[in-house]
Amino acid sequence: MSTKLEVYIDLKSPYAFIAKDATYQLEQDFGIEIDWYPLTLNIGSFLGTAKKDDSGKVTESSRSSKQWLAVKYAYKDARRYAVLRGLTLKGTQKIWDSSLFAIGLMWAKRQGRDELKRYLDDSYERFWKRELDIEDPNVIVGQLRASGCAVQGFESYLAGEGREYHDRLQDEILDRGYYGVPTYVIDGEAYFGRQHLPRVRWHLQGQVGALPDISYDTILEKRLVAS
Amino acid sequence: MISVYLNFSELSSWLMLAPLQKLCEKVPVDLMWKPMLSSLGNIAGSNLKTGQADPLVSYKSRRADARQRAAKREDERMCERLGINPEQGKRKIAPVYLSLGMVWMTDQSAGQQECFSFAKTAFLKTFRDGADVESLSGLQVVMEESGFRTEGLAHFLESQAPDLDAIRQDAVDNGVFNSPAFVIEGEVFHGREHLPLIQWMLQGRQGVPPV
Repeated sequence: MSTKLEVYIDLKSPYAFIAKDATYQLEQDFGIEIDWYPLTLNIGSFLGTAKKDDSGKVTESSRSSKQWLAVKYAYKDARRYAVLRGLTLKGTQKIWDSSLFAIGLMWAKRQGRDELKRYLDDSYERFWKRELDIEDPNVIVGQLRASGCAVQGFESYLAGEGREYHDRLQDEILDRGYYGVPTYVIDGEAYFGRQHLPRVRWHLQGQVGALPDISYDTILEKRLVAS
Repeated sequence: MISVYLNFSELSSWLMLAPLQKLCEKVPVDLMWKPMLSSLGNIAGSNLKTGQADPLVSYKSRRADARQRAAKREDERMCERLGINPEQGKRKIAPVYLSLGMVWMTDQSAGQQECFSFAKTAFLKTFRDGADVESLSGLQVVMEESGFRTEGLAHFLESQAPDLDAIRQDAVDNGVFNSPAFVIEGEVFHGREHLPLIQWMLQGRQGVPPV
């Protein structure tokens, strides 16, 4: 049975947000510790860029009509599942640079599993309520501190070693063949998207039986029913 | 009523048939089949002005390569699920005639099982058998093997051939840009992974939703 699972996420992805809890459930169900990595998407490079004001009106846009169609669908799609889970998912007003958060993730990861989990849980929840300016280093420091992380030295890490590692890692991740979030990797086999969770579970169970089809995992439903 | 958008040239539409049929067995629901000739696919594109240097050229190239490799692997998985080899799954066809066949079946008020039978046969002939599915005679064979009548088919295609491009544009206007897709109560779902949620909706949104 395989026990090493890598998961690649980005704070600004609504799909990563709604996948997070079902992903963490894998740790409990399989007795593993997930190896989390930041995959910082450059959304503007493939979906164009846009900004909205507080009323939701678009004030700047370089998107084609097809790109708008895809972006609007993505938010709507993620939101319908978020609503059913009782999560708040407000559309972002611009495309955020989430690299500071990503460097914070790597910092929190070095501090311990519990610190990292608190950092991820709280950051995702607050970001999607539009409560976090993740381009402000002080906000990231605050999130780390609130998660129980020691923050001494973080600022220099953010500007130096952490930034260099993050940027190098992003190229390496793409060269490994991972390009979206959430991506799950077991034994070098990559599964992109929450819909692959049945396959991730099958793989973690030793690939017994036929490869399952993709489907939105119902494991959380089972947990809720059980409780 | 569910509007079902499928593309006879894509394995993902084929894979959708079995879970959709299971859903229909559990929840009586009418299906409106809407064949698509193409999907929006990768919509990544340059938003740069002509002559402007692209500072992200390296990122885009790496990402495009990663995406292509992932798509290839997913194609292999789909072939595994469908019981065909990856080479069979690579076949490229223009799904015009098969799409017209589905429109003809709708025009003829074909039953749900007949439509499923036609769609399954069409995919098997395309990918497993490598048969001719891009001509009227090829379509007629698919129709006959799926047990549906072909009298009047040629005349229908000559005299009343529907505008498939208009169907696609109508789909895009309704927010559908990939296949398979489902529209239920005006809500669009791209991908077969949504079928558990669709079933929950059709059953009256009772109990804990599959999320």
